[in-house]
Amino acid sequence: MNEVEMKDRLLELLTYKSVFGLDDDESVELDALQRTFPKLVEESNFDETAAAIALSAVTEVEEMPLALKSKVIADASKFFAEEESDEQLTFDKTSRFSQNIKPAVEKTHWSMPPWLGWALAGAACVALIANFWVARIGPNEIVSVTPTPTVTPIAEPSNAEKLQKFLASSKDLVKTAWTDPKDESQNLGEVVWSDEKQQGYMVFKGLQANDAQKEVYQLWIFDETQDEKTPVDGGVFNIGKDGEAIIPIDAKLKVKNPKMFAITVEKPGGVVVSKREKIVALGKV
Amino acid sequence: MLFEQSTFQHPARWFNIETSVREKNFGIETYDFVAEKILERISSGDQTAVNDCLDQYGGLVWSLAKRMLPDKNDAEDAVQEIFIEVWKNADRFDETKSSETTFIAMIARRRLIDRLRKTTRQPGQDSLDEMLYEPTGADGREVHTSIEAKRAAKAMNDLRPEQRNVLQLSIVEGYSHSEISEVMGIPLGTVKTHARRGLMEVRNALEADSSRSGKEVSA
Repeated sequence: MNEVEMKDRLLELLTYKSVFGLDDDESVELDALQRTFPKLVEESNFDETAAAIALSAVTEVEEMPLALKSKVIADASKFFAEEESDEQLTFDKTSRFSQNIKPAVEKTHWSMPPWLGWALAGAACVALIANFWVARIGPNEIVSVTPTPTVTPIAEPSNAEKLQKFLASSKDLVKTAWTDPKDESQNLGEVVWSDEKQQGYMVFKGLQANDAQKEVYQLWIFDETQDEKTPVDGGVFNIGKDGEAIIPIDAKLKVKNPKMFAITVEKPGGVVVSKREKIVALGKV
Repeated sequence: MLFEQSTFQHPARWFNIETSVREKNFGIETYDFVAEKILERISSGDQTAVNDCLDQYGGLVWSLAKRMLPDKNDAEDAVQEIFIEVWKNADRFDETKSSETTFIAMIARRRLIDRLRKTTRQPGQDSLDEMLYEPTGADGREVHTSIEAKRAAKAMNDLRPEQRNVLQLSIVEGYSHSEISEVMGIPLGTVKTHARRGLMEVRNALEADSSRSGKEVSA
């Protein structure tokens, strides 16, 4: 392709991107061409044009539902809190090297003194040595033990908190509802997945409790990389009496563009290939 | 005085005309001044700007999402994603290139296109004729949109019908090129050609309008 053809192709891809979006191959091609002709991209203004066309068709603006507004505000609070904490972390790291740099936003909350990290690390070392001492020598041989400082462990975030963070931070979410295959009108919750993060969560409501000694639930992910006969194993899990749970997906292989999620009942520990004798939930994308 | 600014000299800056013309035509200087500063406030960490942003642009984003994503839950999820993107990208807003409204609509469209590409769209209940271009304000419920949106409406009206229909179905209704090919009964390549030429014509018309306005204001 000569320069004229390359520029022409770049403009073509830029228009398609603004109007339809691009597939993976086109995106790669566009990235390469953009690097070659950055000025052409800067002056194209196709995104602005498409936005103006979209705006021109808005003849009536509907008020955003209050519940949605609350969610957006909650998302914003989390976003800015994370931003602040990231900024603080960066500041703490860099402040040892450049004392004159001030954070962009003045912090009003308590922040950890720089020496405290070293103190906690020291305490942890003392605890480790004490533990080693007890293990090697035995309690009977200990004459006196200096009380070791206790470090309060940071509470592990709940699955609900992890899910919220995941939803807020993932750009490529695939989301679908769980339905009962025997009665598709019955909603059993939702499943969300991100190809980029290779993570996802299942949310269940009203799924029957299982006896973990006898059987477990197992997730299967049908995607474009695997044959339908061999979907990706998404891990096993249990459901308690209330029938509600938030379960992180534990995919055993890389998942790309999932088309369907399915839950089967299997023997404890799960299986490598399911006979699909008992399918309890389906999530079609 | 904004009228004395030289931002109209460069064709690429045609989007910046909104604030000035609004001031001149509608006398709502305070309103626009506050609105135009929302993203700047957000990028500087002023969290009180979040509410202002939702008051100013929430309904617009919600309307764009509902139009492109018929499923209400999907539209709600999209709106949440869009505003996260707005918070993340507020510092990239360049007032010499576009208005805040257009900037936010651009972010919204990117997220909505991403979502649309992941789902198989089920065309809605509207007939093709109903979905195709309805000039802004035709039903008397005209909203106070940006100057560039009004210019885009005019430029769309000036396009050949097939170009206008392709842009309408894709940009406004969120159809993929293959869906448009099916709906309009034309080859895929023709759909792409109409999209490309149509978008370029609208862009050129907007740039020409802006250039003219810039000269008028300068004079």
